[in-house]
Amino acid sequence: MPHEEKATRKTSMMIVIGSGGHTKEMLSLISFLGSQYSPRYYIMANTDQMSNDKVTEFESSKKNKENSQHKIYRIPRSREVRQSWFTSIWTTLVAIIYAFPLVFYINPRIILCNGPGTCIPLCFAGLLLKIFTFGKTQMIYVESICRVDYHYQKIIII
Amino acid sequence: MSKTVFVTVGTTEFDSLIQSITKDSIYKILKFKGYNKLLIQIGRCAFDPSTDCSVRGFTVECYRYKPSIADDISDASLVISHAGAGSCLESLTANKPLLVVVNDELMDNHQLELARQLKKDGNIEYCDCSSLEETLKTCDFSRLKPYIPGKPQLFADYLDNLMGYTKQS
Repeated sequence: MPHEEKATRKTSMMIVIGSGGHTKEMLSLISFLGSQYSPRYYIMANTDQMSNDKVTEFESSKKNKENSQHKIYRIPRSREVRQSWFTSIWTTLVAIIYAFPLVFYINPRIILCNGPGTCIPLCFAGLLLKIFTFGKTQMIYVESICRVDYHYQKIIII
Repeated sequence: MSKTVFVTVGTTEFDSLIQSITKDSIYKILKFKGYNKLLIQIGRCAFDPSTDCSVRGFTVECYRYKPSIADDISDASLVISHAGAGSCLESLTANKPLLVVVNDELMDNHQLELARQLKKDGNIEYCDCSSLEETLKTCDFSRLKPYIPGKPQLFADYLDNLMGYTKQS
């Protein structure tokens, strides 16, 4: 892996940002991660300006700025809240077209998501990437507190 | 002294809550319970709600978004929130009495699960738009229990372990 060196081994991380509460939950979840998780690539919906601001604020407040990097990518949303299941199929396809090249280009060691619509196409792509990299890519899905389990929570590794 | 009820719908569109709460009958109940201001964050609400209020000594204000609602939460004596996890947890970690209004128009209402659990644990009260008035009238919000927050450090430890980083102590 290009990101791995012995002493200061870095782990690149793709963080899939949902919206509203999911964003808040995700940022609080990663708030204790050390600077070894770098660079951090945040993926969010192109309509989601609020998450963009929150992530920027979160990153600028983070310590160890000098040895950690981050980048924000914005892709079309696969499904808006209240959108019908039928039209979701089309918008999800569009999102997949954006998600695949991005995931393969970034080639992250970890893909972290907590379950909003945006993560579905990325997880698809991630799964393929995992197969191509012979399991090097870890996909971690952290069950949202919405699914009710208290002190951080259910973690599923795909 | 101002005793404010803060209503938040987050980034969602929850017009039925805005509609059910901007009523004189609600203002009367809140006034009776000792509150004197209602502040509403209306998000993507399709209309601009009227802030006219005929109840004397009670004011109503609203706005769409702010970069952070933390100040409004901490200034409030009671928070009424949509069931989004972020808004719920923000109020709970600020140690505010919280009434969650569940949006039963959403198709996969996973938010209800959270509200149910938090109610079971005694942290919140919840209702839907149709029972809002009744709940405000009957519920004693001072009896809610404080919420104990999650521990992100556990996740960091878990991930360090998974990726083969030794723990830095």
